[in-house]
Amino acid sequence: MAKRTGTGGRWLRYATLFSGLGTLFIVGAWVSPLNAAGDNVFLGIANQRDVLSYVSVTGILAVGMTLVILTAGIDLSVGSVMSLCTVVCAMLLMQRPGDFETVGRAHLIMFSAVTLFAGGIGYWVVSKVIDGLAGSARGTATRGATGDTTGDTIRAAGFSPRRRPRGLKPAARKAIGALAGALLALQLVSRSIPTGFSTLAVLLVVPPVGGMMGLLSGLIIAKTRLQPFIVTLAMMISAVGLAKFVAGHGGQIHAIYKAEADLPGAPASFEQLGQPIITVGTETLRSGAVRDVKLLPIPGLFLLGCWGLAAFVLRLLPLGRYIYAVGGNEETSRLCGVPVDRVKVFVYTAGGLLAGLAAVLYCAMYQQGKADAGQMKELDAIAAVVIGGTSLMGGRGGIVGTLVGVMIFGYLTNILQLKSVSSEIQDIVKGVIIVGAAALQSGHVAGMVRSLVRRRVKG
Amino acid sequence: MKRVLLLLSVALLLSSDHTASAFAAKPAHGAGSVQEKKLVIGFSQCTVKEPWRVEFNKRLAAHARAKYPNVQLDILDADDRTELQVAQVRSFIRRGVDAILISPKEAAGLTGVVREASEAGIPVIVLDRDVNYKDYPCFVGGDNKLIGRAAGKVAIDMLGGPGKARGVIYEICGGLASTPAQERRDGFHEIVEKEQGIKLIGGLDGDWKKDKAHSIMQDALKANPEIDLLYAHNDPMAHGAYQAAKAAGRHDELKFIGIDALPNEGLRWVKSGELTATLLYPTPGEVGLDLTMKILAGEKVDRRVTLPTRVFTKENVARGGEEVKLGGG
Repeated sequence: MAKRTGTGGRWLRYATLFSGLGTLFIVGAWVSPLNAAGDNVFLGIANQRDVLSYVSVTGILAVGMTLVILTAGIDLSVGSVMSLCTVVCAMLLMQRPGDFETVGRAHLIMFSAVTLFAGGIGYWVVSKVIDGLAGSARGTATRGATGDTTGDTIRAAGFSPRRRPRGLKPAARKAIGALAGALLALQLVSRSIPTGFSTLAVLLVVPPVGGMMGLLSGLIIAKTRLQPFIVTLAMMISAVGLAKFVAGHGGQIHAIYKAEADLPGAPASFEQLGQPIITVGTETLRSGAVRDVKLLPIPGLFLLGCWGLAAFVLRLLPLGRYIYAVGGNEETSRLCGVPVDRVKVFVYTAGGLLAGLAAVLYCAMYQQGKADAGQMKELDAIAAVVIGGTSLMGGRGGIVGTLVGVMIFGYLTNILQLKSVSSEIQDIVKGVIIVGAAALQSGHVAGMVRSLVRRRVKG
Repeated sequence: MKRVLLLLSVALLLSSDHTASAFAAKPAHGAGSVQEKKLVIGFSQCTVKEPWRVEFNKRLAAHARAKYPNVQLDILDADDRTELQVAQVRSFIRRGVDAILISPKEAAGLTGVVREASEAGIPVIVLDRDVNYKDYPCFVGGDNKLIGRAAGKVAIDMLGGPGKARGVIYEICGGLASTPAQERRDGFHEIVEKEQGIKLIGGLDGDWKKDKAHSIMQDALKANPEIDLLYAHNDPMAHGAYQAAKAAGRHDELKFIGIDALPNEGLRWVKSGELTATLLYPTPGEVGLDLTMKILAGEKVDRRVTLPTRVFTKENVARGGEEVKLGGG
């Protein structure tokens, strides 16, 4: 009874995890106001949809944060990096002619990020896919290609795999691959400059901006062995400064408007990116009009997608094992041949990319980019990860808990707002819940209860 | 005074370079010597984090360039830090500038340095927020309580007029720890609570942020089937609430009132019909600079200048809005 191992332990952990969320859900349904038709507001589909939509931005940051914390690191910069990306995204979409000198800054930073990542992908294509294929074609059975998958195979398809320059050294081939990738991306991106950026274009070019900042933090942490706390704190400060600098006029808000006949602006599909899809029925408004009820918010789908991807990486790829290993014991991992530095660079880069993605969704939902968009969001993300049972010491926890932690936050805000509880009280309650939930998840409370019970039974 | 205000409102409407050149055509008032002599005026702005302050600086700089080519205006940003602002004003005193404009972060911390400057014989013009020392020549600012009252008046008129107004008003506050939010709330309550037919609910803290107001409104709409009018302490919050109402399909049954009327925010949303009305919180830079030049020319000026508010609706936004007449208030 005292010890559980294997899958039994995992299920017990999940039960503890979901008990907090379940309790909150029941409380929410209990205290929820009723609408005019007498239905429970909290349990309504529209409300559940809104909660999912509300948590999506913080949730995506939390997914990246989980990877970082699992390696026993911390990333304080994701909120600021997200702010920077919202500014870049809004400016790329709007491209107001009067502000061209500042738009140029957004272009510059976007171009460097895209070039960097496209170059990286080109490098990866040559070193893994082409040489890997050539290697297996020669029958030498190179197994290196399965090592890690940091690239994007879909984009890799754009690069012809058969044109391998013969007789060149591997280093030169890789350099050519990187250059080709960078040039191809530059060519594609510069086509968007005169016409304005489409929704798909910002989804592709803004995350690399975040990724670039994450890559920088990761490289510094891996190479200098400085504490992640101080490196990402520095990045947090710099990124806010950079966001204000890019925004211009000391950090003005960039509102996003739909393009009109005489004014440039965002394409109509961009607003759609923040809205729900899939009709599940109709509702009659008070005005008498009938309209569709839609179920799934697109930002929520992105959250679930990122979450699924992270779960896949952590559970099924060697990279996932490495992440746990680095967090569990860095020196042992190093001695066992785990590429510790590369794992670290990967998690911070992934965190940055996700911050960039969250930024695009934030822009779509709130139609603005600003230098304080992500302020304090890094702390919300850390809190969600910890509530979800991931240890700040690294190596323990997982991505399921993070989603639970994120939803706990979302439901809590939702319930308090449905009850119109004043903001001061909301903050107090939130603090209490964070400590309470973290204590429950840690297992110590459960242990205390168990030992109390045992003492009773014995005595 | 009236003419300056008229110019101010016109400028707010078309905040393009054309307006700036319209100012240039107007010769500066005051004595000839002040017009020709090279003058240095220092301005310490408490922060440029808020778009209103950005607009404030932009308009002040444009006004100085267009109207007073002989003035070198040095604008410094104190980054929301009292100690930095104190250091900035001291540096102005050491440099011996001709006049100092300051928009203080807070009264208590900056009173001393305003006194220092005044005692050094440099005229200090205090903008937007006051200090606890009264021996400086001129204060220019808006009045948030007055704007709150004006917003209340506009809301009551929209819901049927004084005495007859009916409906539910939902309020989203700015950062409630800040004086502007408290005053915008108090002024509004003062007018609205007189009405028997009006129910005022909400009052949650949106912290001046659009995304926070969006989330508050999303839940408020579900918990309250009857909301007729939304009042938010700034335009971005009002627009965030509008977006939430639109997503819930209820934007047509509500009216939305915001405050600030910045050209690229509130005014644009009013033009597009998303916000029903916005009230101007005037930037005091231009009037402040005009008064500074008068003081330097030796003219007498009013000790305290309160800039009036204007309401902008879709109908009057092209004309530059109109003044709100507070009957008896």
